Amino acid sequence: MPADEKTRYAYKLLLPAAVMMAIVHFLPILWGMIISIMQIDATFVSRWYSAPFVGLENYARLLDFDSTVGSRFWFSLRQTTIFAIGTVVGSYSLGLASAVILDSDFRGSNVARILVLLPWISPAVVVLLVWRMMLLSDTGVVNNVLLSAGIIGEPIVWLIGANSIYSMILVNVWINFPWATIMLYAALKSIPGHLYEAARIDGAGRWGQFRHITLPQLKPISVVISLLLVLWSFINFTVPYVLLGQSPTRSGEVSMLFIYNYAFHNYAFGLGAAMSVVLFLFAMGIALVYYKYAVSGSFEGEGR
Amino acid sequence: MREYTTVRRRGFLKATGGGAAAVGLAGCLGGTDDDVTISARFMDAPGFEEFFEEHTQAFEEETGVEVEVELMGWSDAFSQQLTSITSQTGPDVEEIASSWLPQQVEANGWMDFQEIDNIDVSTDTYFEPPVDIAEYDGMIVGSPWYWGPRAHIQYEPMMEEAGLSGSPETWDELIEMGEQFNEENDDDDQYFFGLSTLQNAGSQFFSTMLWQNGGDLLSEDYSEPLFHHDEGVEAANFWKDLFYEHDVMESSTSEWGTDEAQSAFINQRMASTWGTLQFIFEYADQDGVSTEDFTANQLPAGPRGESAVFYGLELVGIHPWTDHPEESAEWVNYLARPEVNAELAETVSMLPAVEESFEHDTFQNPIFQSFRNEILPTGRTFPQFYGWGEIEDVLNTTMQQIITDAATDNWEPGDTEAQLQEAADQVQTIIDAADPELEAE
Repeated sequence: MPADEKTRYAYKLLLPAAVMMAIVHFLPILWGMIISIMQIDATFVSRWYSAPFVGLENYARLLDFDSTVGSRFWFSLRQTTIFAIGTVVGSYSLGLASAVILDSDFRGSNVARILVLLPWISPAVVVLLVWRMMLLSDTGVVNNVLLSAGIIGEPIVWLIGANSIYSMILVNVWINFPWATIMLYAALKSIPGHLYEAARIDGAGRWGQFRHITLPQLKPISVVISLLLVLWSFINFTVPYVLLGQSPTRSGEVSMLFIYNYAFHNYAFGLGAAMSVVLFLFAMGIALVYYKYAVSGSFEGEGR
Repeated sequence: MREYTTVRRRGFLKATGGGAAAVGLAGCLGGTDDDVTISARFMDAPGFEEFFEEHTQAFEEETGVEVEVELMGWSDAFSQQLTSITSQTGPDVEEIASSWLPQQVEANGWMDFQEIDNIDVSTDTYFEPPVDIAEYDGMIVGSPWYWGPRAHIQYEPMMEEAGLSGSPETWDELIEMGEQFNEENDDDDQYFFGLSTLQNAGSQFFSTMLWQNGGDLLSEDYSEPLFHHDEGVEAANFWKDLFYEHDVMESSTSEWGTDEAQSAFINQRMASTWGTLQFIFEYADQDGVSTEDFTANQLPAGPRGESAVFYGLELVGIHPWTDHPEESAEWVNYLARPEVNAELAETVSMLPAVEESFEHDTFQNPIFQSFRNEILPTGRTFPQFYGWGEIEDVLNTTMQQIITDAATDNWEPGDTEAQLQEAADQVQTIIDAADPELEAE
């Protein structure tokens, strides 16, 4: 088959998936961008086609930090960033530790590999509701264990107030670390044994091997894990919604939850779309910067 | 679009007139139009399936109109109704929650009953406050169905154990009784009183206390907030001090939604609360507990005002896209019959909106009579203001913050004033941003 024909054939094969992607992903994004410059509120929600175009007015309201919606949106974006960073640090660290442990041969390692996946494969809503019960300050098992062990003297209020963001991070880490574990475990298995052998001959200890061989070899997969965890955290709706309920205290009000609550409760879909676009651009900006400085550098030289 | 709406409504008027004649004629002949089926959607509640099975059948036998009822959970209701209103498709008849009413009316979600000949929503039939709520911006958009004002509910066996009798009539008495309860009760996990803080409790209980203290949420013309004045600061501090200063309530109430509060009451972690009838009937289902173990009284008054309580109302409305307006109207009228309304209210453990329903045997129970005679007259609800949803959100967040700060020992003197002032500034911007044309008259 000639090369051109092969290419055409490849495009034909890709066409159904591309059409599906356009319908499922790109059209909603485009639609969101369009309605973000329209005044779609209660008056126009049922006849959006006649809603007036307001240009960048919705964006201007978001940039007005003195307005309720502006100040709360930017605060929610700050909380989302904390949530994302906490999730990445926690999930990656725990995932790496578990992967290293699983990589060493010990009795029951096969069972451990399956067990470690449980948080990730369990239905998220069920897991979150159980965590919610466990984190209640008066009847929750977490406080009871910490009090019994003498680690704390007074019950900690987890789900409201300043701690709610940390509770969200804790639970999100618990849900996501198995995925990081599996990815890192697979990468660990692919590190050539002769690198460790050479290091041992050169007198490297276990820490030296880990620092100079394991970590550099894991860099490509690590940057991918971090990038995906950041993006997933930015668009995570389930964890804050189920764990903290529909009306979280400010500390737990991340952008996805704020946008949903604000837009739907107030029939403010134009403004809600503007907030979504800002969140989208913010997340994409982070991804691009990260890709430019971390991901691309990590894969340089591969395949040589 | 306004033109489009008018055309549709004119068409509807004609249809109603013609339809009414047709129904009348058909009534003489012993039947109605062939095989008309209307659809209706309601919030689910225990016992609703049986209730609607019985009454759709009775309605069909009487009128020949079949009603297909869909029940939806409260958690899905908002988005399902929003989807229907956005797409202008869905059931012919549907339940309306009063707090969502202004935005749904603005979004052309409900018909004006004044344009329907055979629906009468008057104070001759209904209690007056629900009729006021059914009216928005000059339109009557629903038939009041049931309502749920809260009472100061006490579980008397716990009160007797603590040597207490009667119900607090003022804030000071509530605190005194709470402190006395603690002296007589050795169980550290039991308290005299408890209130939820999460979900919409922040706005509902704060408003209640504000009204009890002679304050108001907004000015009469909805042009400025008033809740941050002295009455409001005292109200917010009273709530906070119930656990922060007086140990009348446990501080973990700051994590409670309605379900947690109900569960705490059933599990005897508190002897009293401000709850709807549902609190009593859920509790009375437990072994060895009967409704006679409870008393329901007026909520206490603050130092500057009188007893007051927030209530929410459920209505039944007709969507403007219906193809069967006259049959829908008949179904709404059927649901408003005193005996049907009484049965419904009993099923959901709420109060009937139709005044005559109270004459039914079920409501001769002292608890129901207390609700009717003592509590209903003190009932108030939120302003029917277009931007109220956003304002309610600000109040919820503010009160949650004050209560949470106190529960986590982060509250300092002056915080309540500062938080309410900040909330008032936010509310003022919401009021200023609201389109004046959209404000309720």
